[in-house]
Amino acid sequence: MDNGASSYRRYIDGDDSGMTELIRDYKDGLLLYLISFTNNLSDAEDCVQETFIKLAIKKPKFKGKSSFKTWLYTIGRNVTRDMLRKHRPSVPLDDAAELADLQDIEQNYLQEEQKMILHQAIRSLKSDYQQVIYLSYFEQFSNDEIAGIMHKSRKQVENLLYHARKSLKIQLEKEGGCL
Amino acid sequence: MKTYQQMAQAVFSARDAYLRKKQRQKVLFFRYAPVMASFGFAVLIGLHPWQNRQNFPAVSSVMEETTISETVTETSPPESVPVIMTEARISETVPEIQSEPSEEMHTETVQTSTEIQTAVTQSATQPVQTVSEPVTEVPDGLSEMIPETIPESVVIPTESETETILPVTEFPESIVIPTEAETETISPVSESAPEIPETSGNEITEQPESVAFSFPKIILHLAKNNAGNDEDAVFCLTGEIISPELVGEWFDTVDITVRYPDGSVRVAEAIGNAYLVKGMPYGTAAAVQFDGEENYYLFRSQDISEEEFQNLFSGIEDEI
Repeated sequence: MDNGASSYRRYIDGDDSGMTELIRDYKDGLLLYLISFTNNLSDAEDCVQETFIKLAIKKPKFKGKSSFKTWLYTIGRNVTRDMLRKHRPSVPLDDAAELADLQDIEQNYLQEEQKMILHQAIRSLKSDYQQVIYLSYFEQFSNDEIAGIMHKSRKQVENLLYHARKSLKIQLEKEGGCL
Repeated sequence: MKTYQQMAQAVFSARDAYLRKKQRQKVLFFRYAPVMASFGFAVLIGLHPWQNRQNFPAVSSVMEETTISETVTETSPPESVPVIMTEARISETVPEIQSEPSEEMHTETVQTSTEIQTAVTQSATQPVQTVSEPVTEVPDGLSEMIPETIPESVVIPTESETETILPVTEFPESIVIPTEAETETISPVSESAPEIPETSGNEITEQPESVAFSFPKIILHLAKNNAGNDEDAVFCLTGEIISPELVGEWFDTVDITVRYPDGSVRVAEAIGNAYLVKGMPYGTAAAVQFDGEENYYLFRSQDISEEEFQNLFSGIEDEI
C-alpha cells in the first residue's frame, strides 16, 4: 500500500498509469475520511476527485517527510476545506441510495463487520471526533501523523482522541454495541 | 458512485482541459504581446513631442496680444491684419555696441508665442535719412517673409508730405510662406492670400510641411545687452514710420521669428537694428530700421496701452 510514492513518481515522469494506481489504492479510504467533513457522499466524492485533479495538474512535489498516504490525506483535507468554504455542504447523508453506496464502500474498504459497525457509529459524532477516530482506528495513523494531517499538535490530537472515545462509547452503549 | 476507472478518466480529462487552456493562453500571449509592447512603446515615444508641444501657448492666446489691429481697422478690413511685435532686451546705455553693433545672429527660437522673429545684424551706424515720401513698401527684411504684393495693399496717406510719421494703413489679409522646397505650398487661413517663393536670404531652422497658417504676428526679439536688465520687452508694430529726428541711440539688434500655428518655427536672418525713441520714456518705444531700409518703424511696448502710448508720442511730436 505504501507504493503510492513510486506510483506518483511514475506519473510525474509521464506515466498516467501511476495516477490510475493512486486513485485505485487511495480513493475509498480518502472518501471515508472526507465524509467526516462533508457529511455527504457526493460532496466527499467530488472532493476526492478534486484532490486527484490537483495532483494531476499541479504536480506538487512529494518530499518524503511523511508517508505518501499522510501527505495525500493532508492535501485531501485542505481541498475539502477549500471547497466547503466556497460551497456550503448541501444535504446531510440521509439519501437511501447514498447510504447504500456508502455501505458498499465500507464493505469493500473496511472488510470487517466490526469496523463497519464502528464506522456507522462514528458518523453521529462531531466532525473532529470522526476524523481522529477514523484516522486512528481505520487508517492506523500514529498520533503524530494525525496531528500533521489535521494541522493540530500531538497533545490536541491526544485530547481529541480521548474525548472522541468517550463519545463513541456513549454512542455505542446507546446502540447496544461495544468498542 | 464512480469507480476508480471513471474517476481516473475524469481526472485525466480535467488535466487535458487545463493543459489546453494553458496552451491557448500561451499562444494568445505570444500573439498579442508584441502588439501591446509596440503600442506601449509608441505611446512612450509619442509622449515626448507632445510634452514639448505643451510648452507653446495656444495660437489664440497669442493673437489676443495683437494691438496693431486697433489702429489699422480705421482704414482697412479688420480681419487677418498682420501684426508686428517686438520683443526687446533693452539696455540703458550701450555706447560700445552702438558704434559696433554685433554681427552675431540672435536665433533664440524658444519663444512663448507663435509669431515671427527676425534677427537683425545691420550696423547701427548706418546713415539715417529723412522720410518725406509715402511708405509704399515693407522693409527688405520683412519682404523676404511677406509677399511682394504687400505694396499693393499698403495705403499711404499723401496729403501731408511734411509729416514725419506716415501710418501704414493697410496690410495684406494673409500671407503664405512656402516651405524650403518651393513645390510645397502653405495654405493660409485666408484662402485668398497670395503665395510667395522663399528668398535665399533667410536661414530656415525648422520648416513645417504644408502647414496652413494665417499671417502670424511678428515679434522682433531684441537681443539683450549686458546692462543688467533681465527682462525681455515685447514690442508691437504701431504701423507708423518715425522720423529719423526722433531716433535715439542704438540699443540692440533685432530677431524675427515666424512661429506657425502648428508650433513650428522659422527664424530669419538678422534684419535690422533697434533704436531708442527720443523723448519717450525708456522701454516704452523702439524705432526699428530693417536691413536695406531707410525708414524707421515705430514699435510700442506691450506693457503700455495704445492710448497712453499715443498720448506720450503726440507729446514729443509737438515738442519737435
